[in-house]
Amino acid sequence: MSASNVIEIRNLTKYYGKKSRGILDVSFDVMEGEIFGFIGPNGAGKSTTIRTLLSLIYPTSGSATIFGKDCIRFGHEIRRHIGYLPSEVFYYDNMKVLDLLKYSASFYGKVDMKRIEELSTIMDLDLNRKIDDLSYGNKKKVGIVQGLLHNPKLIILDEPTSGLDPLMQQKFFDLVQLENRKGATILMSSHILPEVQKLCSRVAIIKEGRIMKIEDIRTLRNTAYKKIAVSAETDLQADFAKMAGVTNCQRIDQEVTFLFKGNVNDLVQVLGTRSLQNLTIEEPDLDEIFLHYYQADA
Amino acid sequence: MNIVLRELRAHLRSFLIWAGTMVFLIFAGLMKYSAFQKTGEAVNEIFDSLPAGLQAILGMDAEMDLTSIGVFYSIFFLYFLLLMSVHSTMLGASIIAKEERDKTADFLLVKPIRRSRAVTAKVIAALIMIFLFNQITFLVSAVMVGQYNLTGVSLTGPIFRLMAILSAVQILFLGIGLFLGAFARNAERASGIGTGIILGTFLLKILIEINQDFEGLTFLSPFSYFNAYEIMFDGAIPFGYVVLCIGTAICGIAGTYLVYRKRDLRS
Amino acid sequence: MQIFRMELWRSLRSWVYYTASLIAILVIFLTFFMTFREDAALLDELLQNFPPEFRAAFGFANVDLSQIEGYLSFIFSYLVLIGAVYGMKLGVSLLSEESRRKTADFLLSKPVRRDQVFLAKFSAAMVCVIVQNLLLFAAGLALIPILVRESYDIGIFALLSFSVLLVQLFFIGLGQVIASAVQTLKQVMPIALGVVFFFFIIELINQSLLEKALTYLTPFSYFKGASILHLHGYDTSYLLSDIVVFLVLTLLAAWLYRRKDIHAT
Repeated sequence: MSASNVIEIRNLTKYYGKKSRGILDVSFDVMEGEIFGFIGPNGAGKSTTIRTLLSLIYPTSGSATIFGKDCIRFGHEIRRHIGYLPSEVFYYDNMKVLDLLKYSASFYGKVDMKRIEELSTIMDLDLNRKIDDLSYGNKKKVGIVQGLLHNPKLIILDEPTSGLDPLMQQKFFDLVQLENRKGATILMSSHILPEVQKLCSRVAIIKEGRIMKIEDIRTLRNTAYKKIAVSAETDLQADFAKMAGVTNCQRIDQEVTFLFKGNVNDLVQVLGTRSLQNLTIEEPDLDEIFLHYYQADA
Repeated sequence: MNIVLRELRAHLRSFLIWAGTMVFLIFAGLMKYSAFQKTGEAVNEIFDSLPAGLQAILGMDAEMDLTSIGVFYSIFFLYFLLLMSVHSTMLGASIIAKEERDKTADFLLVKPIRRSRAVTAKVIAALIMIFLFNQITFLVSAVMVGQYNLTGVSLTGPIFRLMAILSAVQILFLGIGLFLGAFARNAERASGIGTGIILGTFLLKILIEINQDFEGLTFLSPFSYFNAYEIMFDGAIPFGYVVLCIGTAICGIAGTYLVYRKRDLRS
Repeated sequence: MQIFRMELWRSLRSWVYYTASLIAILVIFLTFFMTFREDAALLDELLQNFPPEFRAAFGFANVDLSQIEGYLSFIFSYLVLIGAVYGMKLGVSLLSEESRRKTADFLLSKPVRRDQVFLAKFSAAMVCVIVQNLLLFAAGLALIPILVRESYDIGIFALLSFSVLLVQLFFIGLGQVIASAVQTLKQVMPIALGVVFFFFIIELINQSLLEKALTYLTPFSYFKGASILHLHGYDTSYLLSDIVVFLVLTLLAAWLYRRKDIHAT
């Protein structure tokens, strides 16, 4: 492995039963110290990939290594340094939050009470309540704390923010970024693009079990598309819709919006010949690119 | 109606396993009959020579042919009781309690129906299943026994009477199971208590058999309500116990409605 | 080690129920021995006249119930049944617990091997049944002299008492295999009770035939009172078959558990 890759996935394929697809031929690397986003709609295979990395499920073919070790054969050693937050959290009923956290910590050596308290203070978690009585969001917080309390070198988050209110989401992101600055590598799956956009440096896009694209998040946004909005008294939609490099052309009242990919000079030339009331050129949201990506391919 | 169908479908696999087990046991049991029959007339002769008092202790009368297929089949009554009590109790407990366990209570009970309608549908589905279980047992028994029966006197009637009595016991345990499903904190607790009731009442039957002082407690153990031989061949049906079975079941089901209507459903 | 402790802790409640029930049943039945023995002597005399097939078919044990050892073997035929239900429940529930309660993601993303998890759960089950049997045996030792004021063969009692454990091992093995083979088991008790009663009924059917080959099918035939009283020990071939079945099933369960896919919720 190259020295800087924490996760290397090679041609990973998982079928459930004979016919049912999990993932097909998935390959990507996650480099040390980065926050890697793994995005795709529901059912695309994000969780399947992540569960294979944790050897919760076993691949039909292909392999994956974490810290240079095969994640099936050396699963238990690797997991020593992984913090995992599942998309849905369930814990033992009849236990207090503190007991669960201690139980969790006991798998990684000595229980560090200071760390437990520090994390629960940040996440605003009451240690003395019973797990059964917690709301979904609060259980999620328990999940976050138990996933981070052993200072893992690799943090795997499967749809981490569902169930958290915006304030908590922000605290959580701060926490993740802090861990990242301290050296942790982070793999995070999501279908909520703004949060990926905010945190991640690179993303892999998965669709129907296959990786569509792996890209630097800035490249994805900058080089490819511009989001253009023009207003004019005359209807300009027809003019732009036919132009090469234009997609998603829409008109609302007097404003025409579209995505543009190609030589900007061509666009400027066309724009120069029209009488405009207003013009904005923006970097598109990941959302829009994403949507475009899926539509173009559908 | 949609709920009834869904419940039937959901229980199809476990129902098939139960039915298969039952068929297997009847089959295996009757295979043994030929070996038993070989002891033949010797048994009958010994028995006839016994004083009437002793015959009474054994719960048999002098005319009975101990090696006939009918008498042999009456032994099966206990097996049926054991299997059906487990099936009915567990079915009743799980059909109610599983919504919370599978976190589908939030799905089902926010639909525009009364809770009592959901319970009714479940009770109907459970009744259909225990009835089918009973009928499968009846049909397989009647056909199999017919194969071995060389006396020329049909046993289908006696077997049918036995099944009718069994259905009362099934309904009783179903009622208990349903109530436990609504009453207990979760599905696991419900089936745990159900297990305790089945094992406890079964042991009580044994106790009653070895100690006459306990005969007063017979009403507590459904396993000792009925004597298969008498039902099949004397046509003696103890209506008191049948009423007790049905009555207890009705109480159980009524209790199910009452408790479930006010239950806090945990997510 | 912490998984082992956790499993023990979680099994404690039902362990207490079953252990207390076993001891209570032993005590209750023992208290009726004195009154029962006269009836039993009469019945026994009567039954001697009948062929063994007949006695077996109608469930009259082939032992003298007016003797304390014979009566004990009669009690233990039911204690074995209760013990078997517990063994089966233990085997099924320990290995299916994480999936049923959806805590598998939590536990199996920890730095432990699947084999370690299996071993911890298996050991917890062993501790549960072994301690249970020791307590049952101890309770008998303490209470039989009080309840039945006459001498009895302690060796026979020990053999009868630990036959509960031996039958439990069979069902723990079977329960573990079912729990690791089935993807998501939703309920324990219907399966546990169904399977145990199935084997119990097979034994009842078997009784009517005195043919040995078929008795290997059900563990309830392995350690029967009549044979223990007769041999003053366990029948070696049954003992061997019990242990082999237990070991093979446990290894099979471990193998299945190691390869099991743990799905999300």
